[in-house]
Amino acid sequence: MQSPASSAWPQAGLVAYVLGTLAAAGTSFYMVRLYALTFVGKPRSAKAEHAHESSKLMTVPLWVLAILSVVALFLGLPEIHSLGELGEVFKRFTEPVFAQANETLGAEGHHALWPFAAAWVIAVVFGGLAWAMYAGGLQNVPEAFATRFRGTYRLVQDKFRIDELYEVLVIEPVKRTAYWLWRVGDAFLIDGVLVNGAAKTADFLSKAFRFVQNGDIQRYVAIMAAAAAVILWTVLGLGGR
Amino acid sequence: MAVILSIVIFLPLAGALLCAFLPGNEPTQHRGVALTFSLAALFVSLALWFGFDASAAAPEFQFETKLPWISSLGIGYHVGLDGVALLLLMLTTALTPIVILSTFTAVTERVKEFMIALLVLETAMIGTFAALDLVLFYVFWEAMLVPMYLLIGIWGSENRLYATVKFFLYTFVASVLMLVAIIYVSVQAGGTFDYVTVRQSLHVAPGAQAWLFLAFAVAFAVKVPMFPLHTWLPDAHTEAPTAGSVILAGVLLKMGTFGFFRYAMPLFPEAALRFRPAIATLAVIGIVYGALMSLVQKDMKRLVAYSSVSHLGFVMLGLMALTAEGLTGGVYQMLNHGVSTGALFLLVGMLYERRHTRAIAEYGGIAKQVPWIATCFVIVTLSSVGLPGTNGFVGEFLILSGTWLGRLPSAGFVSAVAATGVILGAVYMLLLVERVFFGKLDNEHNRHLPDLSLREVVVIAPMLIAIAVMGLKPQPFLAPAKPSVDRLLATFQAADDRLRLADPSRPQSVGTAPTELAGGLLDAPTGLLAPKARATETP
Repeated sequence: MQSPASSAWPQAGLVAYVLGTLAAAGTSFYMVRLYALTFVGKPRSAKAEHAHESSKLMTVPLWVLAILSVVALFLGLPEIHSLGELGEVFKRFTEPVFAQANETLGAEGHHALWPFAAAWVIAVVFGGLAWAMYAGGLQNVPEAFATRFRGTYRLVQDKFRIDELYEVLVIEPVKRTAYWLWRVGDAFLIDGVLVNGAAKTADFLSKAFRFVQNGDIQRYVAIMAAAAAVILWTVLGLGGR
Repeated sequence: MAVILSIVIFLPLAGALLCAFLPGNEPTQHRGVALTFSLAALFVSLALWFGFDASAAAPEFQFETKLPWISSLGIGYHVGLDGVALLLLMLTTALTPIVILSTFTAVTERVKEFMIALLVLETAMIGTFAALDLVLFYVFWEAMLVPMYLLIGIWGSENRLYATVKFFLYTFVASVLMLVAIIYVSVQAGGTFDYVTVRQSLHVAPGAQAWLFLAFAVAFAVKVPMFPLHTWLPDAHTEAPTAGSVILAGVLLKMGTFGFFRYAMPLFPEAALRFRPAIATLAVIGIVYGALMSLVQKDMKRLVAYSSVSHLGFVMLGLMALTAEGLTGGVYQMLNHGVSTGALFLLVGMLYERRHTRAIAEYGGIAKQVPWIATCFVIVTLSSVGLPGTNGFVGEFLILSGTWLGRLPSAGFVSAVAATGVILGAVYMLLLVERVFFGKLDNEHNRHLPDLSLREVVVIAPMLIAIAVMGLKPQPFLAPAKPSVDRLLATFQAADDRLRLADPSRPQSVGTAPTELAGGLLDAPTGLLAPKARATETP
């Protein structure tokens, strides 16, 4: 397990193995559960009662895939000398792809049998557990678990609420920001105050000046006379002293 | 050979003149004349496309014509094309017949005046790209405003008068600043308005250069439009008839970015370098801001209009990157935006023609009813969001990588923020598609929508072909731009060298940062994982 590749983080290999194994345990559990709930036991709905075999169009490809999945088992067998050439077919097949990476990482090809056995044990144990819980003698366990650990059950059922987390952390804030930016920033501030504000200022000023320029000749003459009097008074008369 | 360019410029105007002599109550004749003359212009412009020499040794401006016009003032009729102008000219001549064809059923009132306005607009647009005299450029530039003002003001929607006055005043006020700068530049350059001469002989103090650059830049920035000078655009786009929106998005907005590329940047490189961080910042703000605005629009045309703010932000960012990739990507994205946003407006126009509403909420599930419109819309959407294999990807990729590799201050951060615009772009466009075309068809009015007519197929097919061709084989469209891009880069390299001569402590600011980064992707100790090494390169 320990190799120079993981020198930056020595536990990397172990962590990867444990996570991968957990995933494998989960896979065998949920696949057997799926099988048990779908094909085993009494029909739970009217539609299930009338289920029928699909056409050859579906079943023939499924046979082929089923056979190939068993063949794949032999491709992945570890090198056991009594099996002759059968062992590690897949590993030898992909060897050129990883040759360079192996060289760079300095990975030594030492083969242990125990991971292979562990994988089988895990698959069988968790598959068996699922069988027991959904088709065998432990069928009351799922119900009991769901009532006992209600919170955990709901969390898992809600897909760990990742979607909701995403909604709260990303989607809503972006939408809200965009909306307020549009209403306040764009429509009110930039377009309202600045752009239309400039137009409204011009409009206001022209209306203000229009008050004086009303076209009434008599008023113009009166203002002119008053202005002339003020100028004369300033230049010639009393204002000058 | 050179006369071909002038023929292309004035062919549409000749068509407009012919329309003027035909009776107003014969709409079919006007449609025929407009389509014929715009197709003729496209046909003749193909001679320019195939006759253009894109090699590095070829002259910068080709198909040049230089005639005296107002000699006493140093104004001449000087036209010619570099690669970028050629690309945009081709976009214009290709888009106009499509636009004219798209109006055959949509415009039924005042067809004569409509066609005349469109043809005059085409001449003005081509002239703007072809002009090599500052006054001639300004004349064509302002001449575009008049037909566009009429197109929006007469054939627009409910709020058309407000929108068209806003559009006119906003762009006109900014252009007047440019006119002042043009006059000042001409005086400084010895009394000529000839672009080529001015560019060679212009020597102004750094302070004056900054003001001149700003005067040009503001005129162009309004047209682009750059944040925060963009608010005329959603109104103009929304109120304009389909043809107006397509021309506006397809060609008119590129006048702004083209103006930066042709005038503001090469005439005043030192000032451009000085204001570059600010412009790049506004471009990035525009990218994200425009995308966020699009996200919350209820009106299809308004959504596409705000998406233009975002896309043109990408173009500006590419130009400000001052790398070969960034500039090329910027030019390419101008074409892409013309094609994909033009196509989006055409498709929205087709829906509008059927339902007379632009409200997204009025639609839903119509893909079952109009599968071909839906198919076209999805393809155009994918191009707009830059899916690999479409034209949009090529442009965005070049711009983002050009910015990342460039010497813009904090280039990594800038390109990272800009990249979020790509994500948001996918969000608002795909949401639009989902809300309009998919889900339940629950509006009774949408039950009997007819699908694409043959005429509409002819309108939209060239756009889809362009999307695929420009996405899979961009080289023929990148090649003409290369000499122009290289020349602009050389201008900036020279300006940067001058500035560094005066101030030796000044870091290099043009071109691609040393391969450290590119190689660094593989070489962890000095590359991505060591931002400090980069920071010392561009403090």
